[in-house]
Order: sequence, then structure tokens, then C-alpha cells
Amino acid sequence: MIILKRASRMFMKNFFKYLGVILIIIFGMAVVIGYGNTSFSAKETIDRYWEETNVEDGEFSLYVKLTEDDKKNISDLGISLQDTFYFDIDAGDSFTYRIFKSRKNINKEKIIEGKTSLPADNEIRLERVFMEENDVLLNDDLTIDDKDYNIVSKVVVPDYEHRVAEISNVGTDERFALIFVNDNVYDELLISHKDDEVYNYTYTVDKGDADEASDDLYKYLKDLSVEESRIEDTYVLSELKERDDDKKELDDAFDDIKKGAQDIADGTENVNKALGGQIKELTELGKGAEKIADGTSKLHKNVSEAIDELTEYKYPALYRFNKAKDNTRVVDFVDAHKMYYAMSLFLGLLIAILISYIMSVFSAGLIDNDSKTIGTLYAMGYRKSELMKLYLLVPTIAVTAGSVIGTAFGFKMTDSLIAANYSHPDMIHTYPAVLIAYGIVMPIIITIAINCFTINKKLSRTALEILQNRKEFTTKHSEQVRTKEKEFIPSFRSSQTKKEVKSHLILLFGMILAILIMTLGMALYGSMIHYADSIADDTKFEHMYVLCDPLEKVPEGAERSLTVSLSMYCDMAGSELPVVIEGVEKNSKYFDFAGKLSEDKNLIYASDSAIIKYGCKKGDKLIFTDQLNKKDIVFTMEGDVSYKNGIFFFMDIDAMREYFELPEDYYNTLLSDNELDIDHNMMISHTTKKSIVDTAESWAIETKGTIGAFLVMSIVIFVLVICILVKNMLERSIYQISLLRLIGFRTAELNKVYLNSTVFTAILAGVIGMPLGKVLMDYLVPVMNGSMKSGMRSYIYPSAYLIMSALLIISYLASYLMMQRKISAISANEVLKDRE
Amino acid sequence: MSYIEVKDVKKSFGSGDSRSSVLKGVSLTVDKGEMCGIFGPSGSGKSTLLNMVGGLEGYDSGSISVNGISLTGMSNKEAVEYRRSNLSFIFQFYNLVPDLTIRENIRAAQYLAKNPLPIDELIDVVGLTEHQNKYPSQVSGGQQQRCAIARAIAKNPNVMLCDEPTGALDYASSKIVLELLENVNRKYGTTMLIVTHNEAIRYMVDHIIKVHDGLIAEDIINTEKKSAKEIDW
Repeated sequence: MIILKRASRMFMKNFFKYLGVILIIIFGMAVVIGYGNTSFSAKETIDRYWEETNVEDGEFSLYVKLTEDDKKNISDLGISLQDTFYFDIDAGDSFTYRIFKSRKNINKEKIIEGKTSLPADNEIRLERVFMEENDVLLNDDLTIDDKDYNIVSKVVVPDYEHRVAEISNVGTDERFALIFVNDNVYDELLISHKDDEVYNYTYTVDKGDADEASDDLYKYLKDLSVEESRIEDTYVLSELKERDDDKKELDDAFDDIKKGAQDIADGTENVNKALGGQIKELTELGKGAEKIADGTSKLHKNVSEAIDELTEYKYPALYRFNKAKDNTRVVDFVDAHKMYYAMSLFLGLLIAILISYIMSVFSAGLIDNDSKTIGTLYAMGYRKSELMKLYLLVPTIAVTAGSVIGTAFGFKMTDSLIAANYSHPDMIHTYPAVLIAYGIVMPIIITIAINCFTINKKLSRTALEILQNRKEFTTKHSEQVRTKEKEFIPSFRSSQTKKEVKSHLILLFGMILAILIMTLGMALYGSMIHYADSIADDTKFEHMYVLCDPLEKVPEGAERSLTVSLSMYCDMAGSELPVVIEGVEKNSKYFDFAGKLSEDKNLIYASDSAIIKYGCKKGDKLIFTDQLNKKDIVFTMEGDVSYKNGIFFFMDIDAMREYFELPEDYYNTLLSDNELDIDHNMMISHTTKKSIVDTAESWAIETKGTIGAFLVMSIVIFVLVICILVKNMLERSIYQISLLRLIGFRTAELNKVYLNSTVFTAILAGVIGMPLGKVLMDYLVPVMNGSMKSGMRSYIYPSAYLIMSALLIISYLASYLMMQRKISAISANEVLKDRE
Repeated sequence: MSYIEVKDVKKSFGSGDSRSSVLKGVSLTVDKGEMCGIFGPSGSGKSTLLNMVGGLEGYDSGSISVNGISLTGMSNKEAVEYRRSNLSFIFQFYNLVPDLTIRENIRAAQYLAKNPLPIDELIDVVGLTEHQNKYPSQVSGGQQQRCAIARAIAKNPNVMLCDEPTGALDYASSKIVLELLENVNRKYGTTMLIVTHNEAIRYMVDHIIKVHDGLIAEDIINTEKKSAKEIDW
């Protein structure tokens, strides 16, 4: 159809307008598809990676090594085991090196770069993210215990995708290194760190249901106990010593009774002998005493047996058991990106609708401007369907071009949008059909649908109506101008605004969308910074030591507390998240709310971080899961306290001891201002305030790139939406503008009529957009960080509102100036060109 | 039988007090191949009459038929098909598609025809061979109107409706356009309705109709027809 030739010329004629729309689509869809694809890319990459490296089905840690018999019994359950022992070396300057033997079967290292064969005795493999964040290169040397080792391979392992030292840790630490060495080097390094070795095992289920086999394994491990001779826990040892001392005292008492009775018997016999053995009573007394001695021996034996039985100490061997699916170190990477998918779909839909409406305004404007031609074509006998094809073609091509380019860019930039703090192999590039459909087909369909509606409505007038463009000059509008009694310019401006109300609404929608995107960027950054600051304020201790059991003596300056690690299902994350119940002393100097905590053993207080995560409130029954003992624990929430780090719940320490049936002085955590000298045997973890705050601050730094992308995207959308729509409005009013200029109106007056109404639209967008943004972000920020093991509230700094306002004003003024130039370029001659 | 038959057609615009009758009962007939001129002052209703014959405008009462096709009660969709198969328009201000070249404008009309006339011959007939690849804005008004004529005849229509075809042209261009119309009428036997203010044109048409105040004031057959070259004003 020859008239379709017009399409390319119409496009070129409106090139800058279409270019603007195409740019919005490219920017919008690139971000939408880029973020959306992180979810697919992460899943695909990790699926293949897990298969390649034989990812664990679970892992557990014991206080002692498994015996060969235990291993055989576990193997009989259809489970393959691997010793994944490790120990941590404090390398100074807050650096921690976790040393592993190179894995042979489960959770094998994936070599990203470097030597693939086993490291030699002077070589190590080093985890990727540590290398990249600390600018460590292959072939550099790393000093471990005063000896230099050559880094020969850059690796990742599937059980440390979220590379935290402890599963319950909130954030990753760039100074935490995973090092893999050969068996010789491991044994050599272990000599100086024997006490620090963690007997960690990883397993895979050979056949059948992994969950069921894991449960069987758990039951087996739960019944394992540590032989007393192998116990190293000083608290347990002191308890055992006390028991032994008591038993010894009892033994001594029995021995004394037995000895006394025997002495009586012997004495009686001697006296009787001395008396010639004639006194029958003495003989009887001696026999009685002997009976007492015999009886005492028997009693001693029986009592000893009974005491042994009663005081038998079963020290459980298992202290940690995690199925892979509940292990955030394994699954967090994929989970964290799931949120991006839903978010990007929502944003994509908003952008597609915005674009479609802009396109429909274009088409409507084009049809109005083209009415003479359309009328002529109608008069010639062209059908509406043929004309619709023409007017749909250009928007469709423009949207298709933008969508295809934007989607392609989105796929291209996926890698750069993957959360940087995770350890993973090179990402596999995925091109899921659903995203291609979303990025390309959806905008096209929405554009065609909305444009079909608009164009159909425009073309449904009679040929003569279109030919004479009757609708453009309805009496309604002209009457509005005449009947206003105020000054001409405000009255005329008001009339123009009413005439262009659809364009103003779309402009408003576009501006609000831009403001929302800008607010999202500001909220993400502000929330991270505020979170880091809040943690610094809330965390009053400098050191936190979680112990296996109480120490013999509380170090000077340390404060006792009680820590119980549990888990709780979180809707926001869609999984179980590790939570901590902390029992604090009434006079705690580190938790200023300690004094108000109830002494009722069934009442618990949620930290504000936990409230964000679980939305719990006073009176709620909170169900915690003890993963180790496979049981649920229920508390009633009594109130809330201010604490941001991790997901913490608080109790009075005595109430907590009572609930968990622990001795009255029991504790397993020490808090202090200064570093304490604690035997590593007794320590499960050592956390410093500095590492907590540094981690939170590192998130803020990591999000800077994303925030930059959001700001640029929002400004581009804001400026382009103004330029495109206002330019379109001006083009529809060229005749009027030209006429007003012809009769003597100045450019400044024309600006007032045709541009100043957009000031009100921009102000309205700000008034609606910013509070709406705040409300949306209050919901979105916690959801976006759903898998994070801490609750993060949305926070926008007051200064951010000023920055946003300044950016919007500057963007608006720049757009305004461009539009002023457009008005200036409309000369009085235009009116003469359209004599008809 | 008449090719175009208009019977007692009435047409009003507006409503209530502002209602005004434009045509108050117009009847006329035009034979096939006839060149009919419709004359009258501004507001007399001549353009409205032309639009009604073209199916662009409805009427309140009466009937119109063209080539046996009744326009009474015709829907928009039927009107499109009617125009597509039977008619071509020539407008005062040419109404060319601005972003198609002269040649493409003519091809746009050819596309609609079942038996289109050869484009090169048409371009040659209207004398636009050397301008055929220019856009309308790059040629003069007269040349644009010649293109409009070529576009109109490209469809090989049964009827050509011309609304002030020389109204925007100077004398020389008008003469050329009128000669062209005459040639087309002669060569292709196209029935023509020409609405015009230009009284001189009455001398070159076969049938003269004068409209005044919504009524036919004069309806005569021109027995002293002149060629376009011969007329002057």
C-alpha cells in the first residue's frame, strides 16, 4: 500500500519526538529486563554450578569427629559424607582466613581462573570475591602464619555463595577469606590451630527423598554423644569434676563407715580374745559389725551404681545441622534475586503504559494535524482499516525498536546488576522467553491496543468532519475563553489546559513515574546509610562472644547474656530465616531497655528489625523453630525494643533461663567494650561492632551504582516526557501561536499561555509523587530486602527531598528552556501557510 | 436514464433557533459523461450538494442515486466503498498528501482502483514528468492541482467531483487545469460535477446548474459549448 510509504517520512518528520520515546523505552526496558533477568540468570547459573560442583544436601557440625562405625552407619542410610573441616586464622587488621582442604567430592571448588590441578605445598586456592574486593591477583603471595603461599587459582564454592562466617550473620565481610589447600598444608597449618578446628561435615543423599534421608541422618546424629574423655568444654568439665568430687566424698563416707564397722568387729574380736572368748555378746557384736561392713560395701556398690546411672553425663555431639534448602549460605543468592523479578515486572508495566499513552497522544495529534490528508484519503475511498494501519505503523515501529534495543541492553547489563556481594561463577547469559515477551511483545501489544482505541475514535468521524477538522474548533472551547471574566492570558491558558487535559494527565503520570523511580533510588541509598547509622547507635558493645557454655570465671568488664539461635518462617522472604533470642541482664549497660523487660518466662520483646520482617505486634503468638531439636517454641510478644542488627528478640535473662530450664547463672554470651582473652575451645563466634557497621556501610557503597542508574533513568524520563508531550501540544497549537504572534503577542506572553500550565502539572506531580513515593518505598524497601537476615525500614533523608526537588527543578527548567525555543521558532508566517 | 439523479433533497444545519436550511428541495439530473457546472454565490449550498453526491454528507430528505446506487441511508462504511469504486475528488486546495511525492500521490489513488490508468501516461497527460519525484511543497499551486487531477483520474472513476478546482490558482494555471479537465472528460468519458464561482467556466460545460438560496435557480443544457482554451475572464 503506497500510503504506508508515508510512515517512514512521518517518522523522520517527527524524528526527535519518536527518538525521545524510543530513549524512554530503551532506558526503561533495559533496567526492567536487566533486573528481571538477574533472577533467571542467577537460577540458571546456580543450577548448573550446583550440578558441576555436586552441591551438598546439607551439612552438620559436631563437637567430635565421627568414628568409622558412625560413618558406616550413616553410609547405610544412603548418604555420602565428606569431611569439610576448617579452622579460622586471625590474620590481623580484622582479616579472617578460613582454611579448608581442597574438596574431593561435595561442594567442590569451581576454578574461575588459574591452575586446575590440586595446589602444591606452597600454593593455595582463594575465593573470588575476597580477591576482587581486596585487589588480590593470581600469582600474588598470601601470608598465612608467617609463611607465603602462592595464589594459583581463583575459586568459588557452592556452600559459600553468601560468604558469611556464620549462617546467622547478617552481611558479608570483605575481609573474610576462604582458602583451599592440599591435605599436607592443611595438616601443617592445623598444628598451631588444633583447638580451632571445626568438625564440619557435608553430605549428599545418594537416592530417595533428600528431606527424608536428612531427617534420618539428623535422628542418628542427635543420639550421638561425646565420650567424657573427649570433652573439652571447661564448663562441662567443671560440672563433671564437681560430680566426681561429690562421688568421691560419698565413696569416702562409705569407706569410713565400712572401715569403722570393720574396726568395731576387729576391736570386739580382740577384746573377746583377751577375755578368753567367753563373752557371747561380744562375739555377736563383732559379727554384727562385720555384717555392717559387708552391708555397707553392698550399699556402697549399689548407691555408686545408682549415682553413676543418675549422674551419667550425655554430652550431645551435634551442635549444628542444616539442610541445604534452609542454609542461607547456599540458597540466598537465588532467593535474593527473586524479588527483582516481581519489582521489574511492575516497573515495566508502568513504563509500557506511559509509553502507550504518549504514543496515543502522538497519534491523536498527528491525526488532528493530518486531518486534511485523512479526509482526502477517505474521500478518495480509503477504508478506515487502511488508514489505521498507517497511523499504527509508526508508533508500533518506534515501540518495537525501543523495546528490542532496550531488551537487548537489559540482557547485556544483567551481569552488572547481579548483587555484588555474592560469590558465584561467571553468570550464564539467559534469554527467557517470558522476559522477551515482556520486554518486546507486551509494550507493542499495549501500544497497539491503546492506539487502536484512540485512532479508531479519531477516524470514526465522517470524512467531511475529518476533512474540515471540525472537532478542533468546537464552540465549547471558544466559549470558555470568551466567558471568563478574568484577564485574557490566565483565561486562555486555562482554556488551553482544558483542551489538552489528556496530554496533561499523561504528563502528570510520566512525571510521577519519574519521581517514583528517583524516590526508589533515594530510598534504597538512604535506607542503607540509615541502617548502618542505626546499627552503630544501637550496638553499644564493641565485642560479642557467643560461647559453647559459661566460662569458669566471667572476665572482668564483660557482661553476661544468653543467646539462643532459632529460626522463624518469614512471608516476606518466603523461607525460614535465622533469628536470635537474647536474654539480657536487668542492669545491662549495653541494652538500655533491659530494665523494662518482663520477668514472665513466656513473654518476649521484638526488636524493630524483627517487627519489619514479621510485622508482629503486642499480644501475637510468635512461633520459633528449634532446627537442631526439631521442635517449635511459642512466646507471646509483650512489646518492642530498638535494635536494628539481625533479627533479634529479647527476654529478661532469668526468665529465659527459666523457660529453657537452664541453671540460674547460666549464660553463653559475653559482651564487652574491650577484646577478651577467651579460649577458642569455648568460643562459637566473635563479632565486633566494627565488622557489623562496616558490613552495613559496604552495602550502601555497593548500591551506589544502582542508585545512579535510577537517578539517571528518572531524570531522562522526566525531561523526555516533558519535551515530547509539550512539543506535541505546541505542534497542535502552531496555528494559534502563529496567529497570536501575528496580532502582536510577545514570546513571553506566549510562554505564559502555552508553557506555564506545565508548571502546575510539575508541582502537582511533586506534591503527589513524593508522598506516594514515600508510601510505596515503605512497602517496597523491606520487600526488596526480603531475604536479608535483618529488617530494613525505608528511610529517605530530608536532604534527599531537597536533592530530588533540586534535580526535578533543574530538569524542568532545562525542558522549559527547550520548549521556549520551540515557541520562539514558531513564526507569524505559519498562519499564512494554512490559509484554508 | 440519468447517471446522477438528485430528487427533492433538503438539508439543514444546526438546531433550534440557529437551524438554517442550506438546501430546500433540490432536484437535478446529470447524464453519463456529462461535464456539469454548478454555480452560485457563497453559502448558496453548492458545495453541500457536491459533498452529498460524494457521500461525504448526508441529507435530511429526498434521494440521490449515482450510477443506480442509492445514497439514501448509506452508512459510513458503505459510503467509503461507494467512493472507492466510483468517485474521485478534486479540491480547491489540492489536498495532496504532503509527505508523498507527486508520483506517489497518484499511485495512492491507483492502489484503490480495479482498473487503474497507467501512471506514466497520466503524469505525461498532466505535464508533471519532470516533477514526478518532487514533494507537493516543492511545486507550484498549479502543478499541485494538476497532480490532484492526475490522482483523480488514476482511479479511472465514473464520476469526478471538483470543488472550486481553480479557486486557488492564477489565470494561467487555471486555464491549464480547465484544459486538463476537459481533456479527461473527453478522453475517458468521465462524468464531472464542477462547483465553481468562476462564471466563465459555464461556457465550457455541457450542463449548467445555478444554485441560489438552497434552490435550483437555473438548470440548462449548454448548447453553445466552448473549449477551455476559448473561454476567458
